[in-house]
Amino acid sequence: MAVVERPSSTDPVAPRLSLWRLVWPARIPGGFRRTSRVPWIPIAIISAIVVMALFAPLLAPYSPIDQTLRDKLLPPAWMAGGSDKYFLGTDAFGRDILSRLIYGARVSLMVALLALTAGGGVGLAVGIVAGYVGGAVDSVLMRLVDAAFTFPAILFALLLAVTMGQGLGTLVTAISLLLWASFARVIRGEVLSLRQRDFVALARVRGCSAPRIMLTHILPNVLNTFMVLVTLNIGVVIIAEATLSFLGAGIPPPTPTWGLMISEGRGRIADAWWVALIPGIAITLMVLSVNLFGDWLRDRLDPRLRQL
Amino acid sequence: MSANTRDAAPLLRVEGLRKHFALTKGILFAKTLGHIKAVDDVSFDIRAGETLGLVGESGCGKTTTSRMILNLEDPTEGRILLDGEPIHGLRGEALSAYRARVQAVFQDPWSSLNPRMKVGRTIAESLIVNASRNRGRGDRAQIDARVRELLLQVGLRPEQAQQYPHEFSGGQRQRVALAAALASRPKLIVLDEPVSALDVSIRAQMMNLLKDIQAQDDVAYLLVAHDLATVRHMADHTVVMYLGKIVEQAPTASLFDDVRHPYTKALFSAVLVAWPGQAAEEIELRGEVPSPLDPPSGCRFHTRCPYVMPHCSQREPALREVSPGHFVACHLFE
Repeated sequence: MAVVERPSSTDPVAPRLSLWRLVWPARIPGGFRRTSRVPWIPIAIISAIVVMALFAPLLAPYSPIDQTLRDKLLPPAWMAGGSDKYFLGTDAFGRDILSRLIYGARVSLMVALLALTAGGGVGLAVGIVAGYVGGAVDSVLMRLVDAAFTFPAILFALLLAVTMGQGLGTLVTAISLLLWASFARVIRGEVLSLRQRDFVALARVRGCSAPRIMLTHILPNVLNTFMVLVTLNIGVVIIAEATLSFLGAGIPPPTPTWGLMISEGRGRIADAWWVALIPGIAITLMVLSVNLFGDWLRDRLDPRLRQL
Repeated sequence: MSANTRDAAPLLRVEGLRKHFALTKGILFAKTLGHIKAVDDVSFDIRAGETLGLVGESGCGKTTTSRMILNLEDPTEGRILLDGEPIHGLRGEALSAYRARVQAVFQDPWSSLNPRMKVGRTIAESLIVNASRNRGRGDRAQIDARVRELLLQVGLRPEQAQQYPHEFSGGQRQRVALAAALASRPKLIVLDEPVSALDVSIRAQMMNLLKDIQAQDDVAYLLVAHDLATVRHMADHTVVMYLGKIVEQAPTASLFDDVRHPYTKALFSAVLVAWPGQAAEEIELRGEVPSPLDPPSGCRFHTRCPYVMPHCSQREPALREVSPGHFVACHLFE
């Protein structure tokens, strides 16, 4: 019989040292729960993508648009037939995939920023007003929210693209319309419970008007929830942008977006899989990182939102 | 309104106050199932600079009464007069003038301060609101000086104005809430269970602080409480409520010497006596408080009263004066 070695992690004196512990620090006695460990890897990935987006012209080795048909469909550098000139290979028009990926991050993040500001902002305002004012105002606004949930979002976005034309504006409008209702619903619930707190009644006793109470007493107390909602929805927005670009209702080509890159590569998936797969991996990494970060932020700031 | 004869010009007069909450079923075509009579024909006076205690079990309508006095709820019937002026239906200028004169401290110190607002800002709020309504903007330095003064008055340090509520203990928070209530130099402060959430060791401090401030500022208190010791220590007059009605009302000293109403007796006998051998008339109440949705006929206490008589369930007893200033609503004293 083999001697079973005791795993060193059970040794109370010498904590196991591993590379993993560097990125995923051990639990500090009396510190946060396991779920509250700082998600360093997701933070690093998000930071890298943000830096890529911000400094795209400096980081990208080539123009994302210029075509070099001589070098079309080259595989990534580490594969047979790959070229050192194009680290992640090239697409059917000989464009550098790495450069397109870097520029594509710009569009994705820009869309996320604008759509979350617009959609999230509207949802925040609607949620606060519905929750605080209540009564008929609440009923009307919440029926609007219900109506927004029944909308087939993708169909509506396609309709918008047809009527307004393709572009950033259309994309942001479509995604905002998809987002605001869920923001409004969560924020309203939060306001309903805040409204019952004594400090709101006391603010009325001190003579604060309803708008003043909403701005100085309600709004600062729902900002935590709002920030959590924003991070948890970044992934939704990125996927929506990719979906709409894939369907042709997003940013028109040749501007690179991750969704559009998948769309362009899908016909060659058998012989040039990297064209579609690499932006797919980028989307997966980004959304996964943002969601892990959002989960952590939610646990840190507001564990009551766990059911979302 | 025989109870109102003890003073010609009270600070606050409550007349025939009723609050019925409709209980409905359904959303679109709501059906009214009935009315919860939270407050049913209540009248009393508060004189300037005095403390009126309002006592009763939970659900007896004392908090609803105080919310109506604070103009947070409109009465179904009856009216409340401050210096002879009705307070409900006030708008704009008149309403803010009323707000400045009647303030409140609530029970739960953990809920009564905005966690995202520095306590100095909370204390200054009524001043800022009033200034912005009158002159456009307040004199910052003047408001800051008043906040410092208020913090000192309630026994805190002026520099604590820059701190957030989570940096304070429950007792300190209640002091901040009191400072905020005092800011606009009100004539009446509604104290809704101001010490019941505090540790026993801090209660006495808080009560003495309230009394000191009353002596300095000549402010009247409406003290809502279920704790008789607090009321005895603080109140000049005491009103006992049961199921939305006043059952007994008297100067505190005379009430505590000479309890008349069976319900008040029951309340008193529920309090632990100072000596185990002390002779006390024990009244033990059985059963739950009846639903205010369908209150008992006649005297509302007859279902639990140990001295119940046949006509108690038929006729409602009126408040009558049994000794100077001492009013009881009970058929035993007719």
